[in-house]
Amino acid sequence: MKVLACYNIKGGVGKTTTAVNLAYLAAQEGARTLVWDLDPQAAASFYFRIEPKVKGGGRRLFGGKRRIINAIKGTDYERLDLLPADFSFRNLDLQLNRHKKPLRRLQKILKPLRASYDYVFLDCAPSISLVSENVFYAADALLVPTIPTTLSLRTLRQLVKFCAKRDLSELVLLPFFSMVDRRKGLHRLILEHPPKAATGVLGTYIPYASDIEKMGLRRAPLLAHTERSPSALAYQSLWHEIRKRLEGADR
Amino acid sequence: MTTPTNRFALDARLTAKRIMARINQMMPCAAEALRVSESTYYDSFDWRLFAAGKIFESRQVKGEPPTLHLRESGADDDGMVAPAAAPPRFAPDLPTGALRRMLAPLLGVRALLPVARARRRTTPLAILDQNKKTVARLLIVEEQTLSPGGRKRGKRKHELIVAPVRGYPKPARRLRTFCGKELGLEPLPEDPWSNVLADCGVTPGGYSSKLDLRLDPGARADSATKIVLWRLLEIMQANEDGMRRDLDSEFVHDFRVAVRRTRTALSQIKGVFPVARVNRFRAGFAWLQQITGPTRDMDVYLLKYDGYRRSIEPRLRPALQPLRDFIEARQRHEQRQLVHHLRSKRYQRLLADWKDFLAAAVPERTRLRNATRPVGDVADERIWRMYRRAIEEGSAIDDKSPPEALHELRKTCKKLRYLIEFFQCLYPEDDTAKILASLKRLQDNLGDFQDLQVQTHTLRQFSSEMQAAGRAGLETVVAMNALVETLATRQRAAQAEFQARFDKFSRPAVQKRFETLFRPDTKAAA
Repeated sequence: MKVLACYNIKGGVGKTTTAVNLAYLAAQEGARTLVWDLDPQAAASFYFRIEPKVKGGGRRLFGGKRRIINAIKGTDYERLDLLPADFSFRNLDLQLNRHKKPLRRLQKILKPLRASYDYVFLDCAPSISLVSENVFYAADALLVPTIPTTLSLRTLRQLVKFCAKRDLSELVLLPFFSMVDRRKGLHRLILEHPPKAATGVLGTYIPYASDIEKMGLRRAPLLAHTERSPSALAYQSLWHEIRKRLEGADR
Repeated sequence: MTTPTNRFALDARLTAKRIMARINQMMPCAAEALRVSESTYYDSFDWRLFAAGKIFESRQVKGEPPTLHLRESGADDDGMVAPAAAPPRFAPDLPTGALRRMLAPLLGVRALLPVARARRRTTPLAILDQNKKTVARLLIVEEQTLSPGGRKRGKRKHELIVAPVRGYPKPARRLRTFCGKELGLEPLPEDPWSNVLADCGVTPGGYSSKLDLRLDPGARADSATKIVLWRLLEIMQANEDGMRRDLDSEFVHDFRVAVRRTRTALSQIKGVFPVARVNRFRAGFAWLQQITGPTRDMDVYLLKYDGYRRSIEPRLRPALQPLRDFIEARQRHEQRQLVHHLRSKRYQRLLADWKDFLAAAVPERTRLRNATRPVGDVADERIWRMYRRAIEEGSAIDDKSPPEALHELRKTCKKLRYLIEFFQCLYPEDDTAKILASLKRLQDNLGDFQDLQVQTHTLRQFSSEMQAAGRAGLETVVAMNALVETLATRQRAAQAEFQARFDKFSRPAVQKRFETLFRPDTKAAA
């Protein structure tokens, strides 16, 4: 089982659309896939038309009182399941802090899923907090959607530094450019002449496109409706590249 | 608590449209795209996956990449999935991943063989909630069974299947009530494969190399012996095709064990059949043992090869490859010879005569001394005698005994084991199980000793043959010498352990058990 976290300190950079679409592609390829909506805003749950509610809330889920597998809901797509968000997830930091080894809590409760899933996508809330650190320890790779602007690259650098300081050498960082608008000079400039802060950024970028925004209207992964649009192709090639990088890391 | 069935036999008159109209009255639903799929069920010849409660299939849904699925039988999920069109013959060649990790130890050395196929056309009806989220599905399925080769088997069937969506138990419950009570449909077996396998005339678990006999202790010894021999013939025949096609190495193995058991029965259950006839068949089965031997030997070397490789220093390992190539070539050659023999008139005639002999009724009156005695008495006598012989031979062995002495004892122990297995059902199960377990520990040691001796000898021979043919360079010769050295060391270890193992087998407690079970005068006194 590979745990892939869609994460960025900043909000509104395309974390949820990435998690939803890549998970959809993984499931289409035959992998048993789970999306865990960790964001109390519950956007991923919304995209899959699933009620953002977990019986007993985050406290029972993270307290080990409720077995995580029982909270999972099937999506409309084969092999693709969702662990819905819950509004109580806004207090996850407090809940995690109650336990022994609070940094490894998420890793621990994911363990029983190993036999059931090939991929788990964590859709994380923005910010850098105890939850984020849990995510770093639980994940095999961080997928970091990054808008090609100066400030975004600055937060990316912060993240890289943060991971370097902690004992996270096995965590694979996979930043990629997201919401790229080629009409904007700065986006073009950064894409064509990537600064030092952008080293290690994946080759594929996700364009700023209205069909991605329309996912909110359709309430379905983009790829479930179109496989040929530029954004759909971008997600496919992004997934391909990520998989290759993960295979490389395994070797 | 029994889980309610999700599968129902559908009346062909109930079309998707009509069903949808009925469901729409209770909850919103929408038809999804038609799915056309073809699946193939796989298991080993001896049903190892079935015995472990697993179902393994390959699946090709039109327009989707092909997949392999391994799941618990009775589970309604897809289980473990691996991307591949058809499984390879052997588990180690599967794509790496959880599926292979689960499958490989279950299958061992056995090949995955296609058992049956099914072609399905599925119209899914999605049951929707207020968010238009699918919360359950009703699948209208048209199914045609096919043989592994693709021929149609049985009639086309129509089924209605409730497919729950994880985390939404209520709508599925409602659908089950709808199918069972409101439409009044007949429930079907929970596993989709049980009907398909039945159409192909296959019974899961239908083959076992175990004897599993039912004998009446008062029955005539000659008829009971024929029952044993008939069962052994069945095992030989069951394995013949797989042996001919070299599907995996176990076919020859099981065939040979059945032949060896037959020979033991013929030579050790004395005085039940006319000597002249028995002698002819004994010669025939000795020949069968002989013609299957070389293939089995090469199979064994191939199975042991990875272990051989690991037993020598890592730097020498690559140089061992020519040995593998040599054995593989030899195996192919021996297999061709074997097939040639199996096609011969001699083989056909032997089996036909044997079958006639076993099928013929036993004579009402006979002068043969054991033929009409109760089989229980004859079994006691024969087993007790063989046990005495094993103890006698074993007690005479010491550090200075030649390897042949151990070899003789090994053969005696095998005969003893087979005799006990033939007549196992005449004795309390617990007792024979304990006796066979203690016998097995001794046999393992004797087997190791003998096998290692033969292997060191044969590998030396291979080495010189390979050198003579220019197929082994200096490095290969060095690697093979190193291998022979490790085998010789292990053989000495086996020899050193013999005494302890034999002492355990010959200890009074085991002897007591043999006496109470088999010794004729003890039993008569009791």
